[in-house]
Amino acid sequence: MTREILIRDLSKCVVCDVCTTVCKDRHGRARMNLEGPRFGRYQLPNVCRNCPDTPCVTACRLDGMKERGGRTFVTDACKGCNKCVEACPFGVVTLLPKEHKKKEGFFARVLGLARSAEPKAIVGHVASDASRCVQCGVCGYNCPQGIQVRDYARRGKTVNDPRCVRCGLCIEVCPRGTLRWDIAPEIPSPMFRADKCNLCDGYAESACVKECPTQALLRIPADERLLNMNEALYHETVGKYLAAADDRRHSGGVK
Amino acid sequence: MTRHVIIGNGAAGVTAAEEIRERDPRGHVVVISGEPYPMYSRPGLAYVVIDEVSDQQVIARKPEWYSQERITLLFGKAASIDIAARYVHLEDGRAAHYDRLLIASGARAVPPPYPGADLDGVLYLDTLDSAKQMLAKAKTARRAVVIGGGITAMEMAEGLAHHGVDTHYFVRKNTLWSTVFNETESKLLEQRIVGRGVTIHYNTEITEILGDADGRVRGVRLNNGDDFRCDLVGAAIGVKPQIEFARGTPIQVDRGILVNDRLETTVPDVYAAGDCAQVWDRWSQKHMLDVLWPTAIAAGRVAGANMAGAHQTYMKGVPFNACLLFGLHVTAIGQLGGGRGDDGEVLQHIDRGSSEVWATRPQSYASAWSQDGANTVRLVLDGDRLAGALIVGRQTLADPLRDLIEHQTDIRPLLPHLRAGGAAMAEHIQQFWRNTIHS
Ligand SMILES: Cc1cc2nc3c(=O)[nH]c(=O)nc-3n(C[C@H](O)[C@H](O)[C@H](O)COP(=O)(O)OP(=O)(O)OC[C@H]3O[C@@H](n4cnc5c(N)ncnc54)[C@H](O)[C@@H]3O)c2cc1C
Repeated sequence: MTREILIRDLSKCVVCDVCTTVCKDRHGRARMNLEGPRFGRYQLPNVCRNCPDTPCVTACRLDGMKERGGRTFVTDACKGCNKCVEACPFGVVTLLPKEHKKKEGFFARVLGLARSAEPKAIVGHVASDASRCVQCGVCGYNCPQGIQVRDYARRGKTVNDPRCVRCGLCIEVCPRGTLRWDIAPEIPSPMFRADKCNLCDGYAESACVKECPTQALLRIPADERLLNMNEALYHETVGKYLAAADDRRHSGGVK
Repeated sequence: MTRHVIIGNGAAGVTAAEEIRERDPRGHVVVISGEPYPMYSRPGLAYVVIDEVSDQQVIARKPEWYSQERITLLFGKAASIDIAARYVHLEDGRAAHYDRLLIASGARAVPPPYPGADLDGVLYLDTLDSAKQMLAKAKTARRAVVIGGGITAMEMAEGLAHHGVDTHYFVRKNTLWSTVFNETESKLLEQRIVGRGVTIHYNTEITEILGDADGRVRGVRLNNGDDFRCDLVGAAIGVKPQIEFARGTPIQVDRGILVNDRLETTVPDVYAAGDCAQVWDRWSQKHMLDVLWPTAIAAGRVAGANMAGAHQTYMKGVPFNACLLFGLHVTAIGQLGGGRGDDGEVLQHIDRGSSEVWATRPQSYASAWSQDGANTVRLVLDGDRLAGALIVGRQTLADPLRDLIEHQTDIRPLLPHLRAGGAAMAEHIQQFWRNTIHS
């Protein structure tokens, strides 16, 4: 499948905001807004562009962000560690509290499913084995909250910093197996989860595209078709990556 | 007020300083640092060169920590010790008077023993400055040769390859890390190394590093007479205790500073700990070098306590190292019987992150082996006890085996399962561990 992006046809859009409203309806939060750079008749809304070099996927060390069929999306493995948020060049990935539920549809409400009790979150802490710690600081370097985990680890202490969001990234990145959850084997539920547009993965159509009354929002493949529509827009979303790839080829691989 | 002076701002020195401060709140504690940084993590340098951590973050104690603990950090190099007058003289002319002295000056990489070792482009990985230099050189280099049989050499190769340098790893024997690994273990690591774009050349030795007119590395000459072009040579062929300032004093020195089980040297009130100390080893009944972080921490703690008036004995523990090489987890514990250096000759230098104990073999030696895909466990037995273990890949057994080895647990019930080997062995070991130590 080719990579697709969302663009707005300014000659058709009447700025009725239906797109962002239906997006919020479906996902509990509007994952897009209508700011963003303009290219003649078209505009790139502020929304995931599915960059070909997928910086968000590269940044994730927990399999929480994946690329499939030209799309990147947040998976269930996301622990809300913030790395994708930091990595996104367009600022369109956000962390949401884990309790944040997408808005329940009509049937769920009628059937009362929306009220079903949430399983109680298990609160765990990061525990450490001082005899394995070499104080390299890789843990704290990756901590989204800037906690110096090694100061706990070198004393074999449990990280009980109130800022800890229980993402578990320090455990994952420690090269020495120093860190673990103190209540293993149950892993505590993290407090945050990343959220971004995934072109309504799992739905037949993207809500914003489908509901737009003037067909101003388009979901188009980022290939020659886009190039024919608008060269500058094409360059912004694909061209520069291709140019970079060309550069690499011409410089002969290894430096 | 007792004046405690510590030569060395590494794992052993800083741990000792902390321990002294705890036991002697009013004493003076002076730490002399030969490098212009607060204490940093030396093993962490391996992660600096693969961008897993920054050169700032690898610094483990802030300057504020020293002031909070009322530890004076003195930047300078110790040049000599005046035992009679109890002074440490620094290279810059300053001097520090001590009542109790700890030598914790660590070890430094030894230069290659052939011509060209002083050329620009010969790199080491043993100080923060050397790591920074490696990063700077990697930016413009095209091709690097790495030599050395142990962990640090492989970490250098990983770092250079990570930065896009065409990296060639020269190994003298036909396996990797030959003092510790067997053939299968070597192959598993080889796959990882090759997968990261490093070319391995087995049975290859260098006889000379070649330079250009400007004194820069331009290649190496091999033992078969061929020349091999490169602009960097990463050398990690071993380390040597850094104890020149102690030579010529009454402090008795062998390869390292000789200490008894209280970490006292042959001179009263002078102690030694960490990489620079040669410590009595109950396993081999010899004075041995351990170039290991946990050892330095443990010894630093005992030395510090004794300097502050305690009477602790240092029990040289079972050497343990859990490292990550090219993404592969490897844990080495205790005696592994890998053999002594090349062809039985005595190891000339000990490698970073290594222990001489690993290369030794227990009295009544037998071994057990289990392999499950890319995960292996090798056990070395000494009668009814476990003497050592090497775990590659999945690390579930690392903690149980360390416990069983450290506690010298009688493993007779386990022996039939060890002899059978195979994947079931792991399950039995864990079961046994839970029932004995962990219950
Ligand atoms: C790349 C790398 C990877 C490693 N990996 C591992 C590993 O995986 N596992 C492991 O267990 N160990 C590992 N090690 C080894 C470990 O770092 C050392 O065993 C440990 O740091 C020893 O601590 P130390 O305090 O004895 O000496 P050091 O940490 O070397 O500290 C010595 C201190 O003395 C100072 N000094 C030296 N001479 C003088 C002088 N004349 N005057 C004043 N100050 C002086 C130095 O500046 C330094 O501050 C690794 C080392 C390196 C370099």
